[in-house]
Amino acid sequence: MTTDEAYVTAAFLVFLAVVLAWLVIYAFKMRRLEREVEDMAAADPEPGQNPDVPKVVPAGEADANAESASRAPEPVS
Amino acid sequence: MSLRNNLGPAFALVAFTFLIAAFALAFYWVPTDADQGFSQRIFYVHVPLALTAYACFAWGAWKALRLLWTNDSKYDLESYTAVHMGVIFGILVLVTGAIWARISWGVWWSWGERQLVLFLILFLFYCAYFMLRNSVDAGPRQARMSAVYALFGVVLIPISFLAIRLSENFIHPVVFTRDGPQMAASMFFVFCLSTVGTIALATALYHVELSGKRLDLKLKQRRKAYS
Repeated sequence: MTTDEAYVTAAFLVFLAVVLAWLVIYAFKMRRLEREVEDMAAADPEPGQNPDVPKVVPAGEADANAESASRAPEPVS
Repeated sequence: MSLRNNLGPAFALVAFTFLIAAFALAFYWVPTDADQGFSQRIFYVHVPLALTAYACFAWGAWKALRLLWTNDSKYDLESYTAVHMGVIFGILVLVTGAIWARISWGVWWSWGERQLVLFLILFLFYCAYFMLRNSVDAGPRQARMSAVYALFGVVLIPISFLAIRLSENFIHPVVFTRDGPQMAASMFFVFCLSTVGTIALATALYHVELSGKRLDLKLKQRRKAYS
């Protein structure tokens, strides 16, 4: 490889290296955000996921659920 | 899924395709420059990077103007991300330029060149943007101050761009004159390919970073609301 070729290759590699560095930094940032979302979800679970908190069901839906629960199970063929 | 949500991946795909093609053609297809020899090939990475950095700063200034005009806080994050992209591409311009200067002129930097010095001033001006932004508490005041600063910086772009044409004695080459590009058609084709690829890359990175920053902001607001 001549000196000219080495310098040109270096210029192209610098470009690639900076883009890759950006990707690495951003991957770390995304991982941090993901962890924060997980922490928030663990601290404040959605209704129905925490067994201590009863799931809020709309009135019409609750009646339908109660009706289907009182019905006898269908035979399995 | 809407097209708006897929802008990042779409631009990333365009960038990947165009840049791979442009770099392969720059190395193996375009004729070697009679004056500078093989080292002229840095042109295909250095000039598109410079144009992209200018475009990022201009985009940041445009978003800053929209913020001041409409008072809509969403433009603050967009302006901030664009300036950040401009600084990243500015670093690349300075590094690739220094490599080219070393092989062509025998020095890493020439303080006598107005084009170089003005680009460095533009770059440092936008580096200071982050210092200003981080020295003020987050909120409407920070957004307005940053917007005014970003808007002032845009004045330096045409000065930096035209510096080489205003200069009387220079060693920095002038490729684009009033008579059009002073290069072979194949060289100009590869240059255009590289420019489109680099701008697409900047756009893809801008969208990814903007999504990350928006998510970060929403999480901070949520945490504040809970505490």
